[in-house]
Amino acid sequence: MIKKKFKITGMHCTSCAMTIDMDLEDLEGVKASDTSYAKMETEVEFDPDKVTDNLVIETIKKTGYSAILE
Amino acid sequence: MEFVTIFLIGLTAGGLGCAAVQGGLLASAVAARKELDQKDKNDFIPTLSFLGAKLICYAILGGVLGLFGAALSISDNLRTIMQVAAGVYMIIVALNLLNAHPIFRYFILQPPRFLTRLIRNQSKSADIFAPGLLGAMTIFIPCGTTLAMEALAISSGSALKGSLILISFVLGTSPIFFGLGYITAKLSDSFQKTFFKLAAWVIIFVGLFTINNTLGAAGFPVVTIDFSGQEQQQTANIAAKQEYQIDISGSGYSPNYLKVKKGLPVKITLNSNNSYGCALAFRIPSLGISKNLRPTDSQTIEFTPTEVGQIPFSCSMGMFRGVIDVVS
Repeated sequence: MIKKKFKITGMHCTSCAMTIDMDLEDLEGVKASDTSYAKMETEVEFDPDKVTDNLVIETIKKTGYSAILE
Repeated sequence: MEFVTIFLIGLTAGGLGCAAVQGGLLASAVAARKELDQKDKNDFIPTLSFLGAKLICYAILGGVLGLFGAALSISDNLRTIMQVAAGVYMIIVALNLLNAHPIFRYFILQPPRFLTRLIRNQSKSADIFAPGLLGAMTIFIPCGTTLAMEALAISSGSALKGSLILISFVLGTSPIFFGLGYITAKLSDSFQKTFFKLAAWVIIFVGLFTINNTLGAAGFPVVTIDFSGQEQQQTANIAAKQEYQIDISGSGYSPNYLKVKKGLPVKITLNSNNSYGCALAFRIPSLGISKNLRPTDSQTIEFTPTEVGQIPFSCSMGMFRGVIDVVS
């Protein structure tokens, strides 16, 4: 398991953070995701054998926001 | 007019903001149900039970917040502080909607993780009651605009008003759920942004209005926005016997302007006749006078003005106002 932080843009309230967490945690290999609306970032704990940085970024994009690795 | 404004805030900022998330949750609950039961193809019933449960929960929440506000306003000073704080919070939320500065994001409370997990699991349930429960649970995931409306409910200091405020807001957010897919597809990004901006300015207006009225009720000189219509004067009897009557109705005080002489005792009889509303809570902050009338009631206040000038009076919320002009 590794932890990585991603910067997110496009969130307009705390519920957006919740939606991102839900979608990320639905991914096979993601243990936990902690998105902060106030900081505009998310900390994701995942298994690098199953999940790549790109997959995380793509998932966030699918939810409706854009993300980059910090 | 107040509740119409709140409804409009719900329709614009509330609707779009909440719908993005809550609509998603609802959609997933509906999808889970459809998977289980192929015959159940109707979206209307689950949406209705979702919104109905949400409305009931917010109605109760508004009442509780209103009671909480009433408990906080044990003294007029505390009430003033609470109402100003609520007004300031509304403005902060609006500034955050306008993206004025990242600092404002820190004022938007984020629900605790265990609650969001609970809600997420609920959204995956195929249970027939799932949409309803989900609707009820949305009170735990308020967006910024909802928080602002909750602050307004607290500042109302009344269970009934608090409840009506949140009911108006939730009703405003409701229509969008029925046409979610259609509307979100229709609204372009820039149009949504315009909507948010519009709503933000309305919230700023409501916030300023709350602060203004609060300070007005506390006896500070403020901008007068009076709902009681035209100023009705009563100048006639500046006599030795300074006796007046003020009739209280749902739309304020009549007359709302009295002229009295300095140094002579003033007696004002307040009459209410089957009237309801805030005007029953009569206040003259500068004299420390506070009278709460029943819907049909008559109470008397007496004082002797010692200085020339204006003595403002109002209801406890500052919505209805008047002035006692002290002349020499």
